[in-house]
Amino acid sequence: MTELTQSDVRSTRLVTWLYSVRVDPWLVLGIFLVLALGLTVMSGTLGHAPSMLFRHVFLIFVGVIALFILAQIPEHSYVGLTPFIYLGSVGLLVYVLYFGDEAKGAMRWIDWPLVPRFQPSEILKVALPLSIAWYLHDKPTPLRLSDLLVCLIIIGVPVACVFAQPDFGTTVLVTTACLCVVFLAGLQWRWIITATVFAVIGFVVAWRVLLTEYQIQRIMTFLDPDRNPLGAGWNIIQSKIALGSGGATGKGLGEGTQSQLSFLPEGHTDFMLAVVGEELGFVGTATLLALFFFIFARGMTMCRNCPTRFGRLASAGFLMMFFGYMLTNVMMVSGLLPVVGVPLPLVSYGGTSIITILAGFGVLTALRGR
Amino acid sequence: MNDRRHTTAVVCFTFVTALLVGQMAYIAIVERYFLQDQSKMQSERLQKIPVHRGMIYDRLGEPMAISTPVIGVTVNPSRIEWTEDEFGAVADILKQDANDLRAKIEGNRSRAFLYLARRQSPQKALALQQLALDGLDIQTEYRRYYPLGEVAAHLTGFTDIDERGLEGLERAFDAHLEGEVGTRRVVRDRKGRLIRDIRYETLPKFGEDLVTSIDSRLQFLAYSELQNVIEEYRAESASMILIDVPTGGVLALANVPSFNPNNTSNLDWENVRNRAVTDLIEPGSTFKPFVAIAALESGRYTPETKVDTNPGWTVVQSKTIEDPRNYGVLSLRNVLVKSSQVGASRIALDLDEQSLLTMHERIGFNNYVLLGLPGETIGQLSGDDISKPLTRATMSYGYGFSVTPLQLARSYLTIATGGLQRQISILLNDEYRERDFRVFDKGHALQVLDMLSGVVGPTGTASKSPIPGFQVAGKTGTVRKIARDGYSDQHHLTLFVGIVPMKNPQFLGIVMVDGPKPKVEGGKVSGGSVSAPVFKRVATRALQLRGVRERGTVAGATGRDDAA
Repeated sequence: MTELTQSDVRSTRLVTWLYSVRVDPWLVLGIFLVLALGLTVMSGTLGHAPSMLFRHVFLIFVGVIALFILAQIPEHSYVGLTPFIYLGSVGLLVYVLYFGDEAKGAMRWIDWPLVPRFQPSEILKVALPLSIAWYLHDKPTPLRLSDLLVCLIIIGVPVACVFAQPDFGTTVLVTTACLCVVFLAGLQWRWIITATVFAVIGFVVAWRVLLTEYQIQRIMTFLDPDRNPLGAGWNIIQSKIALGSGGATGKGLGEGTQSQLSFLPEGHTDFMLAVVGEELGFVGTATLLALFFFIFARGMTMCRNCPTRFGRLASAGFLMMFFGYMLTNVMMVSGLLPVVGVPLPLVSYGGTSIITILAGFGVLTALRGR
Repeated sequence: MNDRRHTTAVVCFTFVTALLVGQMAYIAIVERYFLQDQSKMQSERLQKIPVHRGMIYDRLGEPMAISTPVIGVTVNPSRIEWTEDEFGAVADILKQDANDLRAKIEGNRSRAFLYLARRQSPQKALALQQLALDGLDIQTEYRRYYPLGEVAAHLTGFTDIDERGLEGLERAFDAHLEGEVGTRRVVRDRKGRLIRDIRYETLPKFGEDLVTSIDSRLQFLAYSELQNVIEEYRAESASMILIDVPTGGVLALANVPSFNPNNTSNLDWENVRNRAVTDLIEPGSTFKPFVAIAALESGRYTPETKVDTNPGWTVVQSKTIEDPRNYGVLSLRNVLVKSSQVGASRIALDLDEQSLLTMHERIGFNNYVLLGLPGETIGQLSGDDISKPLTRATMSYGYGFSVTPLQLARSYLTIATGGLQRQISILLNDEYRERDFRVFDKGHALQVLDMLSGVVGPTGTASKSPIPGFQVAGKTGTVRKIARDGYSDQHHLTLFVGIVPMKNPQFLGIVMVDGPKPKVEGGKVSGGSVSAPVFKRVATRALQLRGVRERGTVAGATGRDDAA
């Protein structure tokens, strides 16, 4: 037994610390592959604007840092933090309704000095699953009606703010994902059926009363894209042309005429998948979907292994959110859903989204425990 | 949280993912061909490659019609969503009113193509391109420019805004001058900007040039002399044709009043008419040389054969035909020199019944000259019975039938060429020119030519228009125009046809002045006083330019030699 030198002690501490770092290699691998694929295609689309590309890479970097830092926070700390996260999110959402920046006819952005422009509604992707889990983690199953109503209020307040922006896509997705959490928490089937009936009634009311002209216009256009090929239907038509003209193996990176000649709008944001399809073909889109599914499956496995009920509910909620966004975006791009302005997680250009998603995976890793 | 529900969720999402992969496969594999066509349809375009028309030159290589590049500004009204400022900027560049511009586009919303402006200067293209507006396009076009302007307006004619020939040579040789637009397949982006070429589909074919026989210096002179004569005699219109006798090429063809072919927006179509080839006139005394030829051909006349015109008038079928004064007994030569109506009538009545009618046909008064200029017509016979003496008598001094100035010029060309019918052509080196054919005996033609030199001699009707140093053969005509009640004493048409030099003729010119008024009250106008001086001045210049120095000798051969 030899004396430990100063440097040995330091290296041993490093090894111990490294061993204590919480990270899920499979999850990280999946995330990195999706990021790599997205960046490769985006570098062709944004070749004319290197500053935008650089900004995107920087935000990914910030997001990855956030992922690793949030993963190190002990899981029980999240239980205590959640009420503050929830109240903070609601505060920001109310703030944005009055003082937000308007873009494309919606008040969604906060533009504060020293902080990049961000959308508070994006924070809900992480904050709401945590909040529902926080409320339900010590409630008995099957859920009581009163608990269900409290959950609906917890969901309803921030979502109402989002709807008022208006941001129809986020409203529907966040609500659906949170209801999935309630379902997973053990809601009785009779309540599920009752809720479904109310949802249908709600849909009719929404259609007739709540939706604005522009939202109805979008949905109608979706139902019949050829109705106005130069107007709102343009996006869907161009997106399908991009996906189809790519064929099985694509036109090659940077060779997509749809995106390069600006026929496809939002080629680097919401319709990124269409660019992938045009330049890399079905092989590219299928690979991307497979990677997403791999991340989802790995996440669900981690979720099942969570030591706490809070962790299981929160991480399941976030995964629903993540995968729900992905599915909605794919359906939108392939013409199965109206254009609701939902980005493709991890791939689309857009600062707040990429950071919150990566941060969410950090929380997911932390909740899994050791 | 229960595991069954966890599993349910995973199964549901797996199922949805599989469906979406299926949808992707359906679009990318099954609908691929249709969607690939769609992709090409919107990014690939057939672009026109504009071509310009051929140029029109005169015989010296001076341009008579040029195509200069201009731009046409087009829009796709269905796609225009410009801001107030952008409308203003476009209106500014095009010098239009912004509100009118907006109204024009709004009014054509359903269309995909609309011209905002045409024939704009190419400099504007750059300014418009810098605006980078969606739905705005710029086309290269060509605009015709006629350097000689109204001087040669009836020759060149003009084109419409799409460069289709409407009048003159532009119309006559439209197929020759016009090019064929080429096409190439290009990739364009959504804003319509050209990204790259793919290939040429059809190669452009530029229009071929046209070289005319016109000498723009003589054309210019003829035009200005006609202007002068109109001003001097307050005439209504005047025309001149100058022909190169050795080739039959038209050296000048001018009409006054004319028009500006460079600005055809407000045309007075009366002025567009090419009077020299379209107007029908009675030739009057200018027909008499052919009566003389008929007389010579009868074998009973020589230039010196006496014709009695006493007492200065004669009655045919109770109509009196009279000369200005009693010329007494005239030789055949002097019947022409004095232009005696009585003499010509008596010869005509002495000849075969059919001989003048035959002459009328032989010198081509029944046929088109086929110069190629639009609107060419031919004259007509009155249809009066030729067996009647009065019909033959009036025909002998050129009434009772009509011809165009161009036809009249051709008939004199047969005299100038020594009896050969020669095709008159507007082209230099016309490959399709018909070959000469003989109409008269050469001797008869030369005899008449010699007689006609007396007209410009000291005792002739054009005695005031000799060309110093040259013998000129010519014939005057002063035609009373038909008014509402028979022939007018007020309204005349003065004619002069000249051939120079008399031996070895080089130039033949016809000058027609319509409606000249006497300079002094009660004065007279005549072919000799009004029309002949015009010929004299133009022919003098022509002789100088060609370097014809003395009788019958030619210094240069091509006509390109300039005395200056």
